[in-house]
Formats: sequence, structure tokens, C-alpha cells
Amino acid sequence: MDELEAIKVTFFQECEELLADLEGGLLAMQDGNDDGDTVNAVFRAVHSIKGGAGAFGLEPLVRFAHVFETLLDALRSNEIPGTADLTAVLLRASDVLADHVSAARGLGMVDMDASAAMAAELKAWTDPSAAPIAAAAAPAEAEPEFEGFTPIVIGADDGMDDDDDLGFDFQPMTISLDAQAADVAVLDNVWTVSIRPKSDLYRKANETGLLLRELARLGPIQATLDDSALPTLEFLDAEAAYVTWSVRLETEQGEEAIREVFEFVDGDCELEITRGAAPVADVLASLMDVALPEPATPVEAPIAVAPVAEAPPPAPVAVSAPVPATPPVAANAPAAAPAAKPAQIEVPGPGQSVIRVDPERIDRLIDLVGELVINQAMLAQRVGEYGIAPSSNLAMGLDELEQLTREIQDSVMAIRAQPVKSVFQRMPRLVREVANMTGKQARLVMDGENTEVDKTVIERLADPITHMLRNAIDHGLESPEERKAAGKNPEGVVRLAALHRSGRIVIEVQDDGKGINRERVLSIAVKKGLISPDLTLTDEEIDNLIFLPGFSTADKISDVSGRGVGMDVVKRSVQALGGRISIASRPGLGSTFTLSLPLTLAVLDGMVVDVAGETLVIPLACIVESLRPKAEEIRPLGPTGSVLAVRDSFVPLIDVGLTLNYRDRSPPPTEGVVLLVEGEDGSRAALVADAIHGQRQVVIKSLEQNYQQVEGVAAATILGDGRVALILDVDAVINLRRRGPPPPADPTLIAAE
Amino acid sequence: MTRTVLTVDDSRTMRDMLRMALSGAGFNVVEAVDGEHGLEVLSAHRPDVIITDINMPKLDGFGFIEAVRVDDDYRAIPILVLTTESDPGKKQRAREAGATGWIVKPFNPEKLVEAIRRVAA
Amino acid sequence: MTEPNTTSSAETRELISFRVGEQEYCVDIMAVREIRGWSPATTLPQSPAYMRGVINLRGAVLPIMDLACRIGMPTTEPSVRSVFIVVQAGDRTVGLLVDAVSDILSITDDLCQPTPDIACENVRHFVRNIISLEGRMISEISLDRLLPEREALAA
Repeated sequence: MDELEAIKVTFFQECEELLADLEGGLLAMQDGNDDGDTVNAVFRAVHSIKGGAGAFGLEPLVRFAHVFETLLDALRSNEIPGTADLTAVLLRASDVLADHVSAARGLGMVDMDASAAMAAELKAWTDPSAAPIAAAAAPAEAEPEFEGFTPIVIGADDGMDDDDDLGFDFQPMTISLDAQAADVAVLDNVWTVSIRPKSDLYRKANETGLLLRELARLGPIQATLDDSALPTLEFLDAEAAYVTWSVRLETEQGEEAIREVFEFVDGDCELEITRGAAPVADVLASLMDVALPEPATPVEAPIAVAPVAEAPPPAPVAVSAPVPATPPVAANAPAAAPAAKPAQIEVPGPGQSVIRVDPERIDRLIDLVGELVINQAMLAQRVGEYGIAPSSNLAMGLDELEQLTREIQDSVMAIRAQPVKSVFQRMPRLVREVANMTGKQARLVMDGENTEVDKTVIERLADPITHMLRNAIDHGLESPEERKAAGKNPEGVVRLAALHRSGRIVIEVQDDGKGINRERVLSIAVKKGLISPDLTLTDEEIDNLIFLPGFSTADKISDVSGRGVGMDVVKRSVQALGGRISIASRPGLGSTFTLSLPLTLAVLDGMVVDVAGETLVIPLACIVESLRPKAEEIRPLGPTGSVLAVRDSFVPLIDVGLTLNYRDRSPPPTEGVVLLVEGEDGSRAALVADAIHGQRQVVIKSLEQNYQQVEGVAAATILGDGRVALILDVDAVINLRRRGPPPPADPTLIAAE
Repeated sequence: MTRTVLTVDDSRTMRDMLRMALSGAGFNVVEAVDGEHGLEVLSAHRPDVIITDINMPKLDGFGFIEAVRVDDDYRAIPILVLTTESDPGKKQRAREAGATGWIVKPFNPEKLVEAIRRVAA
Repeated sequence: MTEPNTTSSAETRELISFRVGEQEYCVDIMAVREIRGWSPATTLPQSPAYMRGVINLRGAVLPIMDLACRIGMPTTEPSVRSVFIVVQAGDRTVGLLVDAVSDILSITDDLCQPTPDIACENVRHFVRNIISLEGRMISEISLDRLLPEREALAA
């Protein structure tokens, strides 16, 4: 990737951030926090997008950003008042801007009609009289205005001198005498430039010497200093300028090229440019063709007059003072291109230092640390097999190694941790769009955007959050009329929050809508044959029926929620990540989706167990407790089932080996170990395993990478002995059991091809 | 002698663009993300030329230029303002604050180097 | 895919041939990553019989497929001589359990014949063509068809 492409990538990343800042600022304004800082930040966001877009020639984006920026500029300078209406328009404009950014990136298209309409709407705010055709989009070219003096134009030669590139070779002063001889014959290319700097010129760190040097790039020059205006010392203003330079310039360039030299000092000096030799030519005797030694630092040059004034020397000849202050006329080569050397890039400053690293390098590092963890475990296991005493140096060294390995792992994982902000910030727009589409009024409140979680998890959060939000607005919130009728604010509130809870990240989506209609959910579930009609369910269990495959409460598939995925698919994908999702609802008050995911998809704390000769890992997060069941706690239920009495409740016993088809018959549970686990929906089960090996942190390996998902298995890992062990998907196991024994083989896999 | 240019811009893209153009021309580049940061970097690196944006958080370009110009140690450092504004008012304000010259965004690398050459001793 | 870049029928390709039961099969050498001796695999539950399980291949989880079983023959009983051939099939890497590796063949396309129509569906599905070489009949496997499509777990 070439450097410019890399910067373009950076630009689009930055655009994402700026768009988020923009939206965040506008939302803050919507909430009434429209202090100057917010408005300025909002302005800057659009301004920076425009700036970068300009650099890459992204015209449609630049044009739209310009119109947007113009309005924001008017707003921040209080030319127009900030109102709720305006903020609403700005929010919609930010969506259009986001579309432009996406389109510029090659992702999607901009609805140009909508964009033009929005641009017109934006313009109308600053200029209510603006006709829709107002072509304000193209910024007028900024030409410096030469105010304060009257240019004397002799011989217009526009046609030939558009070229303002001064990249030609510098001509040393030494040929000036030859040039002088030649000018008798060719006066057309001789110019006289008279420069009378004002003190402001020096104040802005411009220097006459540099101007002369620039002129010398156009052709041979002869510079004459007229210091007759220099006052005597007592009247000398240290910061003022009293001298006039008269420069004879011989050049094939036109007047414009000469003028361009003075672009930056426009107004800070009196300038006269005349064609031909000046009448002051007779002062050529004082020709300044001596290259004075370059001042040690540029600092001294323009203001060298100052020390003279501060400490007036007794010397009677004040005249000479400013002269040494004048830097060399030319003689040194152009400064622009010193020997090329790799530039150092630094962003120094306390607490500011940032290193950008290719994410692949971090991923690789995390993989390697994963290998290290496995290796360390293998080593520990082997040492253990030799029966080495725990107090021995070797065993203690290994303990330290384990400790260090853990720390390295944590530190490396922290590198990849990111705030969930990047996902959250896409949501306000989603909420606006879904609300528009469904005719609801919804306000999104977000909390905990800075909660950090591994990048691998962040990437997987967007889909479930999107679905939960859609669902909350589409099914949760009532229409404004219904809300009014229920005595609620017509605008519903949807709260999206992220928090850490016991080593997991929890995402909550809460609405203040009508809550789940349990009666209807139950009847649908029965009607669709998802549950048996004589089943007695708790409220929570009914609420969570919406996650059942094939369940959809909407009377008709709406535009919004019915995008091909039901909550069951969301639940599946969340489970595939070792996550859980559940819903709790209060009639009339609203519902809360709770999604919990591991902080990383790279490692997992698990319990290693033996089942029918296979080693399995059960995520620790699911395990409530482990116990050895006594015979009297096991009660048969029905023809094959049995339950375990745990304190006051009965929990279904599930033989993992049987459920996963590792064996045909369960051994008596009393011979094994029971792990009391809790599923997503809070339902409990007692998993029966043959033996427990203990807790271990394992590195999660994907089964999907080379194969595919396997029901009942969340992922794989590699244990200390180098063998692959499967990580159990506890919810899937519970569900598998609920559905009854699985068919002996899975013919669908072949049929599916 | 390699010249050091301090670029002050809150936009990473713009800083990257400047860095690419400047380091390509052999300059040593130091960067700052806003005016306040610029003043810190200034004292640490004593650049030969400063290029600054106008719209920045914390301390904007005008404030930054003014702060540089009132400091006897730095007031002779040439400062170029980056501006997308065609707005002459903004340029004028930057000049009043003490900007030596300006670069209109989007710039091309030659123009940028040219502008630096013009103001750098 | 795993198709070699053959531009003309005169170009030679290299294949690795191996034995499955009493029959000879082969795969394009370009698709072969390595050949390893048998080591016990971790059983995958809820999986078709031809999936022998997964093993640890330098930190990656590698599925092992019983090639015989996959093409409809009796399952292979792994022995000390059994090997698995690690092949790239699409974006996945998979180990094929076979009885023994025979040799490396250099063939030109004119030695290839279409799979005869007699064969059962499995054979037609997994065998690209048949190579006749010095009286041997070697069937070339369509690697891209071996693994089932990845499916999200059906609800």
C-alpha cells in the first residue's frame, strides 16, 4: 500500500471518529448541552472531514461538507440561533454526510436527490432567501487582496505567466554584472522592485532578506538599500522599519511571479513593481552583492534592531545598525530540499504518545501468547507426571512461569481491548431510522460507552445490539398515540448500556414500552407447536419464548424486525460466542434485553472434565457448583428422565456423554460428578460427567475455521497434553436434551450439499 | 542541516499528509494535535518552521500563533497557517495574530515545500 | 480453489496418489500441505461418521475426515501405517485419513478420463476424473466438494 493510500485509510478511520463526534455533539445539543465547546467541536468535525476530503479530491463529499460547515459556522458565531428544529436538521444532515463518507469509501451509494435536498435545506437556514439553485457549494478561490497600494501594471502578460511554480534553478548573484551589461539591450525583462517593509512584516517573522532571496530565484538581482528614512537613535522605534530596498531584477517571468514573492507580506510592506530600470539606478554604486554571513539562528535576523534600542550604544552612527540585521541577499542554496533523510515522526507530549500498530501483529502476538499458555500448561503437566515435589525449585520456578504467562497474557489482551464506543456510536442513527420507519418516537440514551472489551468481541457486538434495538423500538415501544393514551411521554426512551460484570461484558437494551404480552406469546408458542399446551411456565420463561426458533410475535413481518432474522438466530450467534441473551419484561413498563459475552474470545476459564473417555471443557461462567450426588437426591421422572434434588428444587439431570452421543447409556449419576449449570434463560440443569480434572484457563480455538459449528460444542481448545478438547456449549446441551435424544446420525449434513 | 517543521493539526489525516510531503522533501517533522500541545512540542523541539491549522480544540490556531509571537524565544519562527477557508477574513485574522504566510488546503506537496522555502531562513 | 493453472492439455501436473482400501486415489500436489502419521483424534459429537474428529496441528484445530467413509466405503480402521494428508480445500485445511501414500505422479491431461457414469452418486460427486497410468486406475478427488458447506447451526 503506498503512503497516500495508507493516509486515505487513516482518513476514513478518522472520518468514522469525526462522524461519531459530530453525532455525539449534536445529540448533546439536542439534550440542551449546546455550550460553545460542543458547537465548536461539531463544526470542527465537519471541517476536518471536508479538509481531508479535499486532499483526496472527493468532490461530492467536499461540496456537501462545505454547505454543512457553512451553516455550523453561522451557528457557532451566533449568526443564527440554535433551536431544536435546527438540531434535528443537523442530525439528519450528519446522516447524509455519513452516507457521503461511505460512498467516498466505495461502500454504498448516496441518494444524490436526498443529498441535494438536504443541502438546499441547510442553505435555507443561513440564507432563507436562497433559491434552491444557489450554487454556494463551490468555494470561491481565495486570492490574496493587495490592499493598501496601487499596483503599477505595465505590460500585461497574463497569458504566459500562469506558472507560479518557482522550482527553477537558483541563479547566483555573481552574474549580476553581466546581466547589468545586457540590460541595455533588453530592457523588457528588467524590473525594478521597491520594497518598503513595515514593522508588521518583521512581527510576522517575515524577512526582507528572504524576499530578496526569492526574487533572486526569478533572475539576477541587484539590491540597493535606501536608509535615508532611518531616524536618529532617539527617535528609533525598535520594532519599526525605516529602510527601503530597491531591487533591479532581470527575469523572464512576468509581474505576477514577482508579486507572488510578496504574497505573504501583502499589506506589510509598500511594494512597487515597475518594468524597466528604475531612476535610482544611479545608486548602483552601493550595490549590495555581498553575501553576508548567515545569522546563527533565524531568531536574530528580523528583530536585530531591538537590542540596539534596548541598550542604546553610545556610538553616534545609528545608521549602520539595521544593516547587519539584514540577512544575506542570496548566495545560499534554496532551503527547500536538504539531503533527503527519513523524517522522524513524533507526537510527543505528556500522556500523548501513541503508537499505531497493524492489528495483525497484535493478533499474531495474541496467538503466540496462546501457544505459550498451552505450552506452559503442557510443561506443568509433564513435570507433575514425574512426581516432583511442589516445594522443589523446579516446581516453584514453574509456578512463577505460570504467573508470568498469565500476566503477559493479560497485558497482551489489554492491548487489543477497545471501548464499545465504536459500536455504540453507530446506534443513534439506527434508532432514528427505525423510529422513522415504524412511526415511533424514540430517544436513545447510552451508557458505558467506554467499557472495554477485546476487539474480537466488539466486532461481534454490532449485530445483536442492532437486533435488540430494532426489536425494542419495533415491538417494545408503543406508537405516540398509544403512549399518550397510556399517560406516557409520546417519545419512548431506549437505553443502551454496557458494563462489566463478573468477568464478562454485559449489554443491556431497555425500553419503556408496553412490555411483552405474555398471553399472546404463550398462545403463539402453543399454536406453533413450540411448547406443549399443558406446560406451566413462569413469567420469565414465557418472556424468553421469543428466542425459540420459529417464533415471531409480529402480526405481519414488519419492515424492520423482519429482516430475515428472528431473535432465535440472534440468540444462536450470541451463544456461539460463549454469550447469553435473555429478556425480562414488566407489562406496561417495558422490557430489558440482557446480553452477556466473555471479555475476549481468545481465552476462557473452564472446568476440565472427563466424559465417556473424552476430555471436555465446561465454561466456568455457566457453572453454579459441582457436587457428587447422593443416591437419595436422584429421583426418576418419566420413563428415562431423572432429576436431582438440589436444596428445595428439582433440576433435570443431563448426562453429557449421552446427549453428545458419546455413549448409548448413562452410567448411574452417583458414579460421576454433577455440575450444576445455569443457562441463558436462567434455567438450571445438572450435567453429569465422569470426573473433574480442575479449572484451567484455555485458549479458544475455532472449529469453524477449518470445519463448521457443531451443535453442543462452543469451540475447541488444546490442552496440556497437546490434544484437542472441545468446549461445551452448555445451553445447546440443555436444549438438545429438551428436544429428546438426538438421531443416531446426522443425514442433513450430506443432504445439505 | 535538516530543518525541523512542527505541524499542528487536530486531524490525523492532515498531519499524515503533511508528514508525507515534508519528510519526502527531507524535513524532520514533529507533530502536535492542538495549539496547547503545539506549545509544548515547540519548547522541546525548537522547530525552524511551524505549520498550523486554525480550527482546533483547546487552543485554536489564532491563539497558538499569538502565544508563539509573544514569546521572545519563538517569535521569529515563521508560521504558516493551513486554511481551507477561502474566507479572507480568517486569513486576515491569522495574519493579524502573526502568521508569516499561509497554505490553502488542499495543498500539493510542491506548493507546501515552496511556501516553507519562502519563509524559512 | 485447488485447480492448478493448467493452460493446455500438454502441461504436466503432479499428483499424490494414495491407497484407500484396495483402490487408488490422488489429489493435486499443489493442494497438499503435508503428510502426517496417524494420531488419535478428538471425537466430534453430532457429526457425520466420516468426520473422525479433530487434532492439534501446530496450534490449529484440524478436522480429520475418513476419506473411505466419505465416499461411501466402510470406515477406515486406523493402523500404524495410516496417514493423513493435510490438504487445502477452499479456505479450509483438512486432514484426509487414508491407508497409505503411494507415490507422486506426473501426468498430462490426456491421461484423464471422465468419471464413468456407472458410479454411485458419491463417486460422481467426489471424483473429478479417472487417470489411467501404466495399467493402474487412479481416481482424482474433488477436494472442494469433500467438506460440507459451512452451515450456521440450523434452528
